[in-house]
Amino acid sequence: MGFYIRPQVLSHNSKPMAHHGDMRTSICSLCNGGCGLKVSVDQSAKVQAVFGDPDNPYNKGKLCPKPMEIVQTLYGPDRVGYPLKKVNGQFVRISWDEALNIIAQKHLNYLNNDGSGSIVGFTSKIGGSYSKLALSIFSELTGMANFGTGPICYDSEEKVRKAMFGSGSASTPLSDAIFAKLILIIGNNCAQTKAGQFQWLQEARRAGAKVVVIDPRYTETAQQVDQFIQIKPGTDGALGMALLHLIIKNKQYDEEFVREKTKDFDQLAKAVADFTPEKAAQITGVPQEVIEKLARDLGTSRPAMLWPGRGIVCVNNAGSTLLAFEALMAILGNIGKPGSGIVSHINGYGKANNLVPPEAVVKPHRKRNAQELYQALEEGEIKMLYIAGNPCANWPDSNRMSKGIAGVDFVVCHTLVLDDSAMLADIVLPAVHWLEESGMQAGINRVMQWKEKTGEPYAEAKSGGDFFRQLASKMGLPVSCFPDNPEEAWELERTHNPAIVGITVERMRQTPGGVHYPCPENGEESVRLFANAVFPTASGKIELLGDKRVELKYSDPLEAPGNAGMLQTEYPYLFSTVKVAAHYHTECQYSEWARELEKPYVELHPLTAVELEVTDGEELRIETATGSLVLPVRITHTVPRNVLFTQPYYTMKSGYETLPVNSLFPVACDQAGGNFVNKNILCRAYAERRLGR
Amino acid sequence: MPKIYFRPERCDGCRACELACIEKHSQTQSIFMANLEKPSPQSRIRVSQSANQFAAVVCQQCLQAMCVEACMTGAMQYSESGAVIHDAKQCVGCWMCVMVCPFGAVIPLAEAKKAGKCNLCEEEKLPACVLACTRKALWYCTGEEYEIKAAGELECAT
Amino acid sequence: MSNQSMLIDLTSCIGCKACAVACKQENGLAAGNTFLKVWLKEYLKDKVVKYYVHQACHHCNAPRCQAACPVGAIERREDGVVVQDEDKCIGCQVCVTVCPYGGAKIMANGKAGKCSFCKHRLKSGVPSACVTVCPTQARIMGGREEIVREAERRKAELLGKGCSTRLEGINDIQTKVIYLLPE
Repeated sequence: MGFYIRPQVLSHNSKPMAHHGDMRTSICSLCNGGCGLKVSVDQSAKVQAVFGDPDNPYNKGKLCPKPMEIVQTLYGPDRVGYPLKKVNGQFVRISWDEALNIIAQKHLNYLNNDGSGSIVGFTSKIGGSYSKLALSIFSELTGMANFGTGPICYDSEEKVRKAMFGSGSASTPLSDAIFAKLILIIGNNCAQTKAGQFQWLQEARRAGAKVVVIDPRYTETAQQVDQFIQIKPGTDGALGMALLHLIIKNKQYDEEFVREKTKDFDQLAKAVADFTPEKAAQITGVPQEVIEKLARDLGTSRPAMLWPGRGIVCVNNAGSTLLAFEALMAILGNIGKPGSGIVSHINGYGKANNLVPPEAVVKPHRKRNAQELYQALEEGEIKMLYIAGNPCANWPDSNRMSKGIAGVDFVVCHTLVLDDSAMLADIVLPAVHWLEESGMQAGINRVMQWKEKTGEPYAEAKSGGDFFRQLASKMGLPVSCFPDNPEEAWELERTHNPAIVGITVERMRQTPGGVHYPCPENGEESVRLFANAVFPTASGKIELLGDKRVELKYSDPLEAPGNAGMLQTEYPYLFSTVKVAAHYHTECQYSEWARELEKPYVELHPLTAVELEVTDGEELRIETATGSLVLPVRITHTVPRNVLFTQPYYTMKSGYETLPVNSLFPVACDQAGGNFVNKNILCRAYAERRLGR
Repeated sequence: MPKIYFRPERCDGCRACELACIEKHSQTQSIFMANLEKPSPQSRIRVSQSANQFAAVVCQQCLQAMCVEACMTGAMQYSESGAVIHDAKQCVGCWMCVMVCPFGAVIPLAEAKKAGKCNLCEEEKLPACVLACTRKALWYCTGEEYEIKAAGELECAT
Repeated sequence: MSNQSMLIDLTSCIGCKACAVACKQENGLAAGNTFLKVWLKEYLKDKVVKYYVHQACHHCNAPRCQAACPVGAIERREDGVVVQDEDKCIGCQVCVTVCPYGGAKIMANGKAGKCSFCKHRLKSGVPSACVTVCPTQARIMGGREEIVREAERRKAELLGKGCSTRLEGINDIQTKVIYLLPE
């Protein structure tokens, strides 16, 4: 049986864009880079395409692939359009009104019978400033405890910096790179994670800055810079201490700055007195001469910047490592001046206070840290969950987390897509995308930019801001505390936070690139923190040793939480996660383009591959004490021996259908009591040869 | 649908593919007896040379095949799997297909008074010519597989 | 914008693949169809050489695909842009196998497809989508002479830093797209 024509002959592969429709300006809200976007919108207010905004002074019209991929997920098959209720294991469409009634009734019920501690929010991706503010008002009124991205991303960094400088925020905009003489990038592959603004680093090099990358892998960033220092995973702290030792020994620190503006210098000097470069060389695998040269460079090149990345934050000895490097910047006087300081995506600008009348505030009756949450879920202490995010993939020991969430009585999930966490929910609510809501977006350049709404919300999608206000009304809470729209929300937030009171919506709209914060009542922007060398710590100076919760003492990653007590004979390799440019959190994986660009793989050194008897493309099973996962192998010389690297984005309920990598990481935090660990965990591996292969 | 791809830079003009094809299309299925048969089997793949470049000509299984469009009896048709197939029973030997094929990949079988073309050795796991090609200039794979394989082969920096 | 050339500087490429996605967005390519593929290449010489290959049409001065196409669906325009007419394409895929750069690609429907240098944008004087988006100036566009000069300048600058590179597309084989790649 044959055919005479083939229908695909008539189809077209390429449909070049005829016109770009109505172009609206917006700000990308993915990686906190704050890149300016031009969004093309069609007549029905649907987003068609995303371009870079050439008028934005930070990305100058350039983009990474992520915002373009996002358009596919806006109207893609995975998007949730209507409130859903789980009936006998199946989701059934209901109205918003019905959904709100059920949630309000359940919430009040648990509140009265089990107390405010029985209701917890996972709100890592709650949305823009409008939703965040409404959530915080709702939480104050109901005593709900929330877990954001902190425990899985930046808590260690923020805690250490807050203890030292009085503020956990980044102190310097990324664009300050052009004033720096030396830029120290540690555990940060910004070529992939902040690709849209990588031009600043190139600009800095053209302006004469020396850029040094310290990383166990030869990353894309390392390729582009002046010096690459390959270091054994998790040993950065030792390098930092040796650098402190050398700078102090050779008296290359800024004596006046140290005397006037820092505290505990003598104790710091004592703590690193015996940390010689010989010792550090042995621990880190970095030759002694290289360490000495780097110390000389740091001593003679000012101003210098520090760009710490997740490679020294999401590890089990983050506290002392961060302490060492940030103290290094402090004693060199690299704080508060143009081209100095610390670049990070942490945008701390303080909390809005007194949004709720004091008599209406309800305190959570139980306080738990992120680690304790697991047990609370398992023991049934938590009766109700609000989820806006994907904890089943983003939190460590994902299997345990999923089981914990599945065991909770009542789960509400406010989400864009039916992801792994939404599938476990009793009520699923459609959320607006960040392109569909306006709000304030803070970026890595320490600016606040006003993000305009571009497309209309998809189907019945609602913002978290509207959802919490309407829920509050159903629950009989004072609705007057809540803002009605994003502009009003910002007005409320600004007027209740003296640090940003000078930043109005109008001012953000009119300032290309946005307004630097803090910006108090007098309207003066602060491009850099601590330019006046006043530090909001107890002593008013930089506390070089922090608040002493973390000791400046090198801790071996193999002996630190998550690895302590494990036998290296049984688990001979280290397992880590690293980032790629095409993905961010778990949300880009719903784009077909992203799935075409990136497939999961594990990077191995050739000699490790030989040891494990696998070649390129073959499957390797990786096992930690927590879980196991099968990944195809990619052999490369750019990674050290005995360390396995993979990417953390992929989940089961997406086109990838892959077990989340987080299911291999233990529920462990570093000694700073900060965030979870998702690097440098002991593992074993063996070739997975399936039958018939 | 998998088809046969020819990578010109790998070919050294050995003609092993032609011989393998003749054996496959012979009555006796014997590489030694094939040339003694009547009617003598003809190869569906042919290697030609111009300067020091070789080109193997074989049916490309075109998406919109001229031979199918030219065939007046419907002997040339598209199979369900997507290949261009030739049904000898319906063929009247007008050889229009031979004339219109831009590659000269349809063979006039003079003795049988029919047209003949590569059928991708449909009953075999791999086409005989692909098996015979020692320099791996002939690939049997789908378009998707081809793209993956070809990327690894690029000599130029691109 | 006639006689435009493009420089693809693989030494500046950070492998973010924004160009590949911008290409898909601009040309409305569904899943499975790509004009531009970016993938990692790594080998050892006296040092580790690692760069991202940008596999796409080079727009040759003497395109083999044009010579091989039996139906004249591929044509080199006067301004040097090699364009393919999808309607004429019969899906024989010969252009795909003869291209030494892997520039013509097999699309999901079985026809061939390739980079058109964003000819619809060229008309209105806007550079190609991949160039507009590139955050590191690894892709730049301009008049031929200007681009060749910039390519030579970058090559010399890299040599000064002890990094040897090679230029493709301006010597024996002339192409509209010039590549600067590490050696």
